[in-house]
Amino acid sequence: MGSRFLTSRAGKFGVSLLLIISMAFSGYWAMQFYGMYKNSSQLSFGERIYNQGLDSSGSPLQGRTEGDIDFKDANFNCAQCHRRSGYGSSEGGNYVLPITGASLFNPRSFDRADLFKKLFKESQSKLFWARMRSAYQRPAYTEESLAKAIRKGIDPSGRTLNPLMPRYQISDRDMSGLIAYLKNLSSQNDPGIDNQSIYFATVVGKGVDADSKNAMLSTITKFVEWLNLETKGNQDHPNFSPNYRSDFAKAFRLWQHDIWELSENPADWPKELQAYYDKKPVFALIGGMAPGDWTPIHRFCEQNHLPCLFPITELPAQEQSGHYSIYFNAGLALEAQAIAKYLSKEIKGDTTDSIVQIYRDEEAQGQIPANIFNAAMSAESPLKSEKISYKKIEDFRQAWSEYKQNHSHIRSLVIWPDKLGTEVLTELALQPEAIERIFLPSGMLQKDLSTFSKDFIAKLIFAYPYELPTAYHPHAFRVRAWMNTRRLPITNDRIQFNSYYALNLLQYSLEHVVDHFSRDYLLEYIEHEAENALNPGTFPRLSLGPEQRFASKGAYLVQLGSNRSIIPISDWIVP
Amino acid sequence: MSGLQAVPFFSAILLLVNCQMVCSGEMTQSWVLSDSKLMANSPQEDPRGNQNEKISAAVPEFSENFYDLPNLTLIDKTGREVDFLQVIDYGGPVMLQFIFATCSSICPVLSASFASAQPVLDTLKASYRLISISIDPEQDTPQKLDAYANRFKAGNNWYFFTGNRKDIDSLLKAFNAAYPGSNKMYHKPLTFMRSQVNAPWIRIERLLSKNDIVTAYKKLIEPQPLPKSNQ
Repeated sequence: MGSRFLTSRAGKFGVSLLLIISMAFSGYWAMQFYGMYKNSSQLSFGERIYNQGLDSSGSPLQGRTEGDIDFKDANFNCAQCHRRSGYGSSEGGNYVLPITGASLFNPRSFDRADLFKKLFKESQSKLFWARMRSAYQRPAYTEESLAKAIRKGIDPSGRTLNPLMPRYQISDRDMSGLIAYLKNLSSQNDPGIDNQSIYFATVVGKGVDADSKNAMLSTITKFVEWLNLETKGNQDHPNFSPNYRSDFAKAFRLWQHDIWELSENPADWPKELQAYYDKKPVFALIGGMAPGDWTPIHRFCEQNHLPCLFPITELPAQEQSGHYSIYFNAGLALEAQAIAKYLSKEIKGDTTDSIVQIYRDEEAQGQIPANIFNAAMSAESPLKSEKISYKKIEDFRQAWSEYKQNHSHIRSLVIWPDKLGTEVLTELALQPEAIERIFLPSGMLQKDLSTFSKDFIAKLIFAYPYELPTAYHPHAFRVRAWMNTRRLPITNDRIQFNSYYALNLLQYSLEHVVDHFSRDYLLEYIEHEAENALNPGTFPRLSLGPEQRFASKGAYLVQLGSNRSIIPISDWIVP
Repeated sequence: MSGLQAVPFFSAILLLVNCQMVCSGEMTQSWVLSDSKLMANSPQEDPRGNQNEKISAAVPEFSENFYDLPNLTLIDKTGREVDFLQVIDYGGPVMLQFIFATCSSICPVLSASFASAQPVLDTLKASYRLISISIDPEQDTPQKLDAYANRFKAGNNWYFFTGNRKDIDSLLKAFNAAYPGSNKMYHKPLTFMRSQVNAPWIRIERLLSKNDIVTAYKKLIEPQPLPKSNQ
C-alpha cells in the first residue's frame, strides 16, 4: 500500500515535473517563435513602407517635402530616392545619401573609393560637388534619433536635413518596423561573390541557332578573359597607384563565367536553373539565349532576386511586375505594337480596309504577338482584324484557300511566322495578286528569301527595331576595333555588339558599386548609366531609368531594296 | 639623362603643373564655395526653414532670359498632336518644367510643387497654364503621362507633353536646359515662368516649395509699377 502510494506519488510528481518542463519548453519555444514572428512581421511591413510607401494599415505615406508641400502619396517612399539598395542616388545635382544599415548606424565617414566615381565621372553641378565634399559629419543614429530624422528632419548632430527629404507622419508601430528594416538593409553581400571572384552565368537553351550562340558566347569569353588579365595585374600590384587605383583594390574580383545549358522542355527549366543556382550561386546572369518564351527564366530571376541582364530574346516576359530582368527591347510585342500603330494611323477611320493575321496556334512566337497586335489595333482603330491560325502547314493551305474564295483582295496581311514561316510565305507567293502587302517581324529578315520573286519581295514590310544600317554612331568603331585587336571573328555584328554593350555596362556599373556587392545597387547603376554607355550602333538609342526594363523602345518599318538593302518606310515608331 | 636623374626633373614639372592648377582655381573651386550670393543667404529668409544646410539652401537662382523657341508639334497626355507655341502663346502666364515619369527624386518634387500650388493659383487668376514636358519621350507615352498627371491631381490648365526625341532635344536646347552627356539622370531642377507672350522667361534653377511658386507667380502677374518721375 505504502509502496503503491509512494509509486503513485512519485508517478504524479514525475508527471507534474514533465508537465512543468514541457510547459517551460513550450513557453520558451513560443517566446522564441513570437520573437521571430515579431521580427519577421516588422521586417515585412518595414519593407512595405520602404519600397511601396504603404503603412501597416495599407494607407499611403503622409508627410511634407520642400518645407510646405504636403503629400499623401505612396510614391513618396524611401526607395524612390534612396533606392531599393539603400545606397542612395544622384540626380539633377542632388546627392541622396545612403541609408543602408551600416551607413545609418555608424558615424558618417567618407570613403574616397565610394565618392571617386561620383566626383570625377558624373556631370553634376558645383553645388553637388560641394555637398559631396562637405566636411559635415554626424554620429551614428540610434533608433530614437533616426525616428526624429524621419519625422522632423533633424539628424543626431542637430542639423536640419535637406528640405527635399520628406518629414513623415508615421506611427510608432510603423516606425519600429521601418527601423528594423533599415537596420538590415544591404547589411551583407548578395550571393555570387567571394573574396577572389564574382560569379556570372549565361543561360543557353537547347535548339538555339548554333552560329548565334557561338557569336554571343565567344564575345563573352573574350571579354572575361581580357578583363581578368587586367584585374589580375591590378591584384598583383596593389600599391602601384597608392593615390588612386589602390583604393579600389578591395573591389577587384576575377570574373568566373559559366554556361547554364537548358533542355528543350521549358517546363523543366525552373528545376534545371535552380539546380545550377544551388550548385554555385551567381551574382547575375549576363546575355542568354533560349528558344521561345523567356518567361520561365524571367520568373526564376525574380524569385531569386537575380539580375538577368540583356538576354537576346524575341519574347521577354509580358509580366509587369519584373524588377530583376533588363532587356534590349520588348521583342515581338514591340514589333506587333509598332505595326499596329503604323496601320491604325494609316487606316484612321476607314472600316472598309481589311487586316488578316496568320500565325501558328501552338507557338508562343505566334500567339503572343498576335494577341498584342489585336489589343493594340482595337485600342486605336475601329477596324477588327481577322485571323487564320493553324497547326500544320496543310491546315494553313486549306484555311488560306477557303479564305481566298471569299476575299478577292486582301490589303494587309500580318504574319507571325516561326518554324513554318518560309513555307507559309511560299504558299502565299503562289498567288500574290490577291495580296497588297505583307507585314512580317524582323526575324524573317534573317531567312533566305532568294527563292521569292522581286514583285513578291516588294510586297513585304518588316518591323525593324534596330538602327538603320546607314546611320552613323561615332563610337561604334571602338567596339569593332576591340574585337579586331583581340582577334575575335565578327560573325554576327548585332549579337556580338549587343553582348559587348551588356558586358561593358555591367563592368562599368560594377566598378561604381565598388565593394558594396548588392544586386539592387548594381541594377540601379545600370539604370543610371545605360544612357551614358557606349552605344555600339545596334539601336538608335539605349537608355534606361529607374525601374525601366527595356532599353530601346521603338521600331522602323522597312522594305528590302536591291542587294537586300534596308529601306525605311516609316519614322521611328514608339508605340 | 639617366633614370635616377630624371626623377627630380619630372617631379619639378609635376609640381609646376599642379601649382598652376591650384593657383588658377581649377582644383580649389569645388572645395570652396565662392559664390557670394549663396553664402549671403541668411537663414531667416529661407522659406523652407533650412538653416543649417547652407549649401543646399541656396536662394532660388533667378534669371531673366529671352528664348528663341522653335515651333514644334508635341503630343499631349491624350495622344493628341498639339502645336507647342500655340499652347504657350495663349496670352496669359505660363509656368513650365521638364520632367520624366520614372524619375527617382527630383521630378516628383518639381511636379508636387505645381500640384500643391494649383489650388492657390486658381484663386489668383483664372487663366494660367502649367506645362510639364517629358525629357524621356520614348518611355513616357501619353498613357504613362496621363497616369503621372492623375497622381498629381492635375487640373485642366496643367498640360503634359511628350513628343519625338529630336523635338524634345531642340526644346531643351532652346531653353538652355540640355544636360551633359545626354544622360537624363543629370538633368537640372528647372522651372520657367513667363507672364505673357513677349515677356522674358524667369528661369529658376532649384527645387521649389509651394510658397516659392505662389510668390514667384504673384510677382509675375502683378502689374509692373510705372517708373517714378523725379518731379
